[in-house]
Amino acid sequence: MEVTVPELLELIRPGEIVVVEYDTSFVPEFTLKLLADYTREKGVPFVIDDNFDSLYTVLVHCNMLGLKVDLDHSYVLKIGGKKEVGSKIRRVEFHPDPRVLLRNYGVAFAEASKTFENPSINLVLGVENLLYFVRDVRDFYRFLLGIQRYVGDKRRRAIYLLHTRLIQSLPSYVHFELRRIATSIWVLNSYPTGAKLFVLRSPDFDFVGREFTVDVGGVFRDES
Amino acid sequence: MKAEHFASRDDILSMFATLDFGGVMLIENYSIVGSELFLHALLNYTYEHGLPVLVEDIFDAFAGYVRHFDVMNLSPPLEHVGVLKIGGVDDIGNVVDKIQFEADPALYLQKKERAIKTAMGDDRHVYIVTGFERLLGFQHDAKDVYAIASHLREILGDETRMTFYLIEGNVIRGFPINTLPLLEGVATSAMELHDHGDSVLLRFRKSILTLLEGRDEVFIRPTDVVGWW
Repeated sequence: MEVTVPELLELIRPGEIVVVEYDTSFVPEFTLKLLADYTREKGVPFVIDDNFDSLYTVLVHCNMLGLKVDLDHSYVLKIGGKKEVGSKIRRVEFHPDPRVLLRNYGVAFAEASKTFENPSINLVLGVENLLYFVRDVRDFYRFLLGIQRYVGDKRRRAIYLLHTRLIQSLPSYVHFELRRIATSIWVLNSYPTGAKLFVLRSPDFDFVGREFTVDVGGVFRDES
Repeated sequence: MKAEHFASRDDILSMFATLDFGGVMLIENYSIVGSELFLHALLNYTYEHGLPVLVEDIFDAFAGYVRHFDVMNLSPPLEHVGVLKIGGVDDIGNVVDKIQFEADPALYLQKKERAIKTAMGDDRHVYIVTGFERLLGFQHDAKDVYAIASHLREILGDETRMTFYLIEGNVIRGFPINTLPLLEGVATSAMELHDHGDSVLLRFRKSILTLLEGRDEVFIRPTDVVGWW
């Protein structure tokens, strides 16, 4: 069944953590473009967690693809990295101890959320970069438990993009634990002009096991 | 049993009714929502039967399930449930005691037994352990795992307690030592939860029930479970 991006985003309840699993493709680029357009048109606050310049990387790719991405309305929480892109940028000072890092993040997120009247859409880019800094099992759990505390936080609907093979190259409990704290899991399989989306998990059981098609060929037609 | 037959509320209630005090039940979850559904059913069952519950919440595992209940619009009763925190940062539910996380199982077991005694005295109760796999993730030595198995042998037959270990099997299997076979050997019953199309498959690895009824698989529809309470 073909769905539009607004239809898909309506499925996400406030307080959710949606894990979107994809393999090497332009999924991050199109996700950024589609979410930016959706949030601007609907007046939904748009928060981007930019871990280690991943937003910059995605924007360069968008440019080369000829995708125009307007981020003037976005709030960027910049964790590590040097390239400041997007607007209303707040720096979150990186710290190798996940507890300190998450405390810094919490302050920045609360600051950004203060002005929001509706739950934001929170796109998280480059979370795997953080996982590379995790030194041992205990550090990983400190990090995971910090994220878990946002489950049910009605200020946001979070979308975590996870590169499947990259996550799978880490110890296998990492992937399973991330899936476990997620309230929704969408597994994407891309084809030349779009992606098939399989709903592996959803708080709404009616959607579990369903497959949707998101075709992005039209994005280019709109621009010309 | 044919695949098209799904478990009813009565089936699940009678399954719980076969469990005895003194038993140790191992529930290994490999499915996506099996843990939440199992907890939802068990919390409702214990509430309806007036059984006090103590949850051992290792590293916020229980807090995570409760947060999921919230997003799923489920609200199992929690007023009969005490929470014993082992490490973690997220105090959800009626927290009766907090124990600092100890990787050394001897210390952890000693401290938690003392806390259980203080909280429950000699009252009969249902004891649910969540996040046990996270504790096991810190064990690098087979000897330490053996200490935990020995402890299970000690609580086996303790008539004041009905113990459930709700374990995320996929997580355990990602750790260097697979401790499940050792624990399964000690437990009075062991079951697994798997995804099976739209439903959850409950497979008994060892159970008195299978001896009585000659079957070892039950299919459960998630939409049914949330409608039962």
